[in-house]
Amino acid sequence: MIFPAAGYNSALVITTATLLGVVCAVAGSFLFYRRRVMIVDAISHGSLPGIGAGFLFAYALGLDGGRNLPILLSAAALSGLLCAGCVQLLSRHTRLDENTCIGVALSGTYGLGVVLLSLIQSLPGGNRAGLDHFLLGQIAGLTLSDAALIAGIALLTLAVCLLFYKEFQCLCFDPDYAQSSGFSVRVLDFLLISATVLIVCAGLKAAGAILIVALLVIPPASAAFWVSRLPGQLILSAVFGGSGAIVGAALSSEYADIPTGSAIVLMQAIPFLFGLLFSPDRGLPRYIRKRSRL
Amino acid sequence: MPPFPDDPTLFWSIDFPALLTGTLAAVSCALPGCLLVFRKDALMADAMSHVVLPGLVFAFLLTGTIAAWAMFAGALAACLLAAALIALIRLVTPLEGGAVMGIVFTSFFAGGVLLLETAAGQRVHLDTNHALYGALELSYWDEPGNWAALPHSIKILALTLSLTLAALAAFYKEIRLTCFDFTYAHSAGLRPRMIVSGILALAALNAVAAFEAVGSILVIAMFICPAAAARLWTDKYGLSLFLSAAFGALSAGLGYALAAWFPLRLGFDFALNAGGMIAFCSGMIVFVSALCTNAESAYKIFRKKETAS
Repeated sequence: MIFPAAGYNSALVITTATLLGVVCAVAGSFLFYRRRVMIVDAISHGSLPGIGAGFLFAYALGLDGGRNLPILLSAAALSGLLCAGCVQLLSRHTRLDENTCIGVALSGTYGLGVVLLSLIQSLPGGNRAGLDHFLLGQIAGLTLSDAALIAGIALLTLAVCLLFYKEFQCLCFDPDYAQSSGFSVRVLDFLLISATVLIVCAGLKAAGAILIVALLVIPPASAAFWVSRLPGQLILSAVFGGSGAIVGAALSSEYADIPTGSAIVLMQAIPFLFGLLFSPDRGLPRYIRKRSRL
Repeated sequence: MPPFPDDPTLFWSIDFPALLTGTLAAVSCALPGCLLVFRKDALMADAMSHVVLPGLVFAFLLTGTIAAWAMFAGALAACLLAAALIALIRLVTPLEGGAVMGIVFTSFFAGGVLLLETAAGQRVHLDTNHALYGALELSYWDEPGNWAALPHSIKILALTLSLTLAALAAFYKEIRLTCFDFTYAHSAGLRPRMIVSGILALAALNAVAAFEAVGSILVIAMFICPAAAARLWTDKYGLSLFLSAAFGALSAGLGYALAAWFPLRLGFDFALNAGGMIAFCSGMIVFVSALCTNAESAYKIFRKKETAS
């Protein structure tokens, strides 16, 4: 039912979304244990001025009326990385805690992005239709070359995560040990953030700047209800992320007015809710046991 | 087309209400925002501004109207529900606070967008762009000079701002102690949990009132940025509140001037999005504050780079 004799486009959309779901869940797991998932929110909002600037750049060069996905995504990645850099700079050198720094960076850059979009709107022949998809996410009309680009970025991110598996593991669970055994925590953090920036930019068009953070935080949090070792965590959260993405993308390509990003997020939230209510060691049952013992 | 300031009637009917809305929204968000930043709970503002949209959609589906009271009640209910859910999940599970907020607000937001696009989509007049980018420019004073004819949103903002000020004045000491030393407040018999809930309710009220007028982007910025800048300049509680209100008002004035008048002065015939520009200005204020208050460490970074090269 959900899998119709899917049209070519549905098959493309579902495959891309699934890959994104899996890779976001894997990268998100490392951030989750590093306890800084919300930096994803700063990166995704911070990529918005990049989208605007990329559009203006491509528009000035006369490429596809400005809507050239490779240029848009590389500009988005650059400005997302800059935004994460601002968070890092503020939280390292001022007294503000990291969450406040994230809030400052995301609202400032998001504001700049909105200003750039309003500038684009007033260009002769400029029209931000299509750029709005980067905010709320819609991949129904994905073309093969766009899909290949997104899939390529996702696979690259996955490769980075698996290649630096041991280093990231050390960074997440014992940063002091990582530092003392010769790794630079700063460099590893930078690597992890860069991998995150890559996957966030790849996912922007599908999930949108506001919802992409869900793809990186919900599956790892759902998996953490059931497992406590990293390999199991990675596998389970990839399963949760991937299956939520398959069902969500399939629903959205079956019923035209269901937006892809929202459907995927809601499908991924189901295992979280299940874990919250039923996980014996980290969910509601633990809390009830604790209360009754008191 | 002459720049607006040169034409008094245009100024009073277009710029003045927009400036007043922006400033009122900035101040009324900056005050509870200051408390949230003190409690290291700044991302609560992010969460609240995003759950307003599902609240609006749900209220419409439930009541069938887009009357102001229904929208306000729905949005407020959604904010309070999200805050309660976040507190509950943090109590029950060992998950980190930021992660819990990310999970709750994205789920709410996804639900809201889904409802908007499917069930309500055809009938409801809710423009997502309007809600996200804000519509500061749309406020309009029909009869300049007649205060009763001021836009509705300005009256609501003035009301919530006075409520906020009254609450801050009435519980001045209690809130201060709760923000700085929760445990001591508890042992002094102050019921800090109730006070934290009160702070969150106050934040929700202001977020909803400001969202209606200026959109989600400005709400996040005005909750976090002025408070963060104030936090950099002072340790004192009262002064922080005052400074964050002042920084909020400053960024509203500066941002509006840059967005609405600056392009005209340069000879272009368009205006930029005022809400976005105000948010950007408030971010820049934090950045400049960080540079000024950390001049020594900024100098060290600069020196290190110089010696390295």
